[in-house]
Amino acid sequence: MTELIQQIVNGLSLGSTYALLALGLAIVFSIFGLVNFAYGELITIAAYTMLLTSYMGLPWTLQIIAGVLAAVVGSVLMEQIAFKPVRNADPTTMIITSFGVAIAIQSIFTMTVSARPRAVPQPDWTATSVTLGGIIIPAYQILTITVTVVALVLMTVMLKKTRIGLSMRAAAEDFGAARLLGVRANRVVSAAFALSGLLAGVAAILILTRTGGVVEPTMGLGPVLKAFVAIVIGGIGSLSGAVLGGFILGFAEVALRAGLPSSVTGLADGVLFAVVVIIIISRPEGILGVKQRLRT
Amino acid sequence: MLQIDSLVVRYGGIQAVQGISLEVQEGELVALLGPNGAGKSSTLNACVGLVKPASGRIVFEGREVQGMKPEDVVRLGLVLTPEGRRILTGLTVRENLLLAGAIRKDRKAMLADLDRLLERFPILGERAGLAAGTLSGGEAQQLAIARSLMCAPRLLLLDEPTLGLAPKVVDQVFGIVEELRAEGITVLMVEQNAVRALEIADRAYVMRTGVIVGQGTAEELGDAEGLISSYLGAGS
Ligand SMILES: Nc1ncnc2c1ncn2[C@@H]1O[C@H](COP(=O)(O)OP(=O)(O)O)[C@@H](O)[C@H]1O
Ligand SMILES: [Mg+2]
Repeated sequence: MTELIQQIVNGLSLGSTYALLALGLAIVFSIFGLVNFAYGELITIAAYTMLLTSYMGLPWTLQIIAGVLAAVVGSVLMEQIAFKPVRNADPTTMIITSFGVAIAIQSIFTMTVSARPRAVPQPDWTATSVTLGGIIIPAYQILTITVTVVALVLMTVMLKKTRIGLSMRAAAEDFGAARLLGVRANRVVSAAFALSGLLAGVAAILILTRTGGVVEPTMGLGPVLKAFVAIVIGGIGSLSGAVLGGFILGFAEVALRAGLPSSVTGLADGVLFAVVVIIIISRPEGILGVKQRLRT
Repeated sequence: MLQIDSLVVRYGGIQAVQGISLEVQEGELVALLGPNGAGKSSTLNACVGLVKPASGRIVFEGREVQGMKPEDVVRLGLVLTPEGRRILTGLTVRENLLLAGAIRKDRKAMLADLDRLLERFPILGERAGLAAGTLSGGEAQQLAIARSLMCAPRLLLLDEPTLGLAPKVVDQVFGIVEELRAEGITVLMVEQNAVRALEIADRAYVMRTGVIVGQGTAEELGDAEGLISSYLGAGS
């Protein structure tokens, strides 16, 4: 029983991170019609900014603020520089552009810092844990679940109650109709990329607390793939689907790791990606097809 | 109020609008008639920036608007109720109206207008909190027009407002258009139902395959029954 609850907490924690990541990817897709594979590099940018600010001797709280800001700015600039010129191009062109951006950013970090991993020292409390009725919950898991719940609530309030949120929902459903009513195209697109960067930055903080602060140029690849899997599971274009897909993926991964013999736990990712391939093959229109309505 | 001069709209190789000119005076209700594919929607869409004209000039209240962005054109008071209505089905009825009203500076007056519209279109008032996707065709058209009115139009472009509606609802929509004119809103309306449109319009242009092939007051065109039947198909 405690073992089961332990695994449920593990699933919630992993699923939380995936849900945040998937939401960030889905927001840009719902408005811009692009699966931004350079999304993972926003995590990298946030992480290296935290590394830089830790070298500068700033306290952890300032490091994470700087990291999130860098991801937000990086995301908005990414759109301005790389994606705006291909805004009206076909989805394939946009996706290839996003791969190009991802490789370029990885290369920049490899050349300017190092290809080798570095570590951002994490606060001591992140490595502690709480014992509750025989269940051991690491502090980073509590942080992850709490931050995710807060982020999801704020996001929902933003989309439902604010003017920019209304504009974003309208633009996600019918960009042209929204513009006819005065919604500024540039503003909602920038807002979508900014939010996407914000979520990537927050996810980066959570990822570093789990890994003990390991930073490397290719660190964004795993997260963006997981986020992509989550939005495929949840129904691409749907925000609530992305969140749900993130949690399903988190629980599935935990269940697979717990269920498979330890010699083949490496297969867990393989099984998950096989599932995605099956979803993509059975519903190809869900991947490169027309964007669906943004559902909250 | 609106002058279109030698407007050309192209989609790839197709020239959908081939250098048409027309104008609408302040206070008028003008109909733009013609069969399917004549280029009527392309003309209206060019006015509001949904498509970029290949050439030509569109002047609204002394200002050239061709090539402007839709979100800027609507702020000038040139407002399109698009073909197919394009209601935002995932938003509530009220949110559809609020979104449109968001361009206005005076939020208090905007909210007062919203309340007035919800009274004027009682069905929208009843459904204000529901998803707009739950509305019937006629209700959705009322929402589409109400939404345009929230943008404080000086010239309203209506693209086929009665398309696909039941006869009784068609009557209702024509009634609304007449009311708008009575309130001093200038209207340029695209309609397939030529006979009904000519009944309420001051003047009409007749378009066919991208060119204007006839124009005049309702009487002038009405006298020339032959013109209407030959260009539009009789019995419409
Ligand atoms: N987005 C588009 N892409 C390509 N061709 C189009 C597009 N929109 C309209 N057309 C073509 O332009 C012509 C005029 O269309 P339209 O302006 O919609 O006419 P109408 O509103 O009078 O029915 C038609 O031949 C139509 O097929
Ligand atoms: Mg049309």
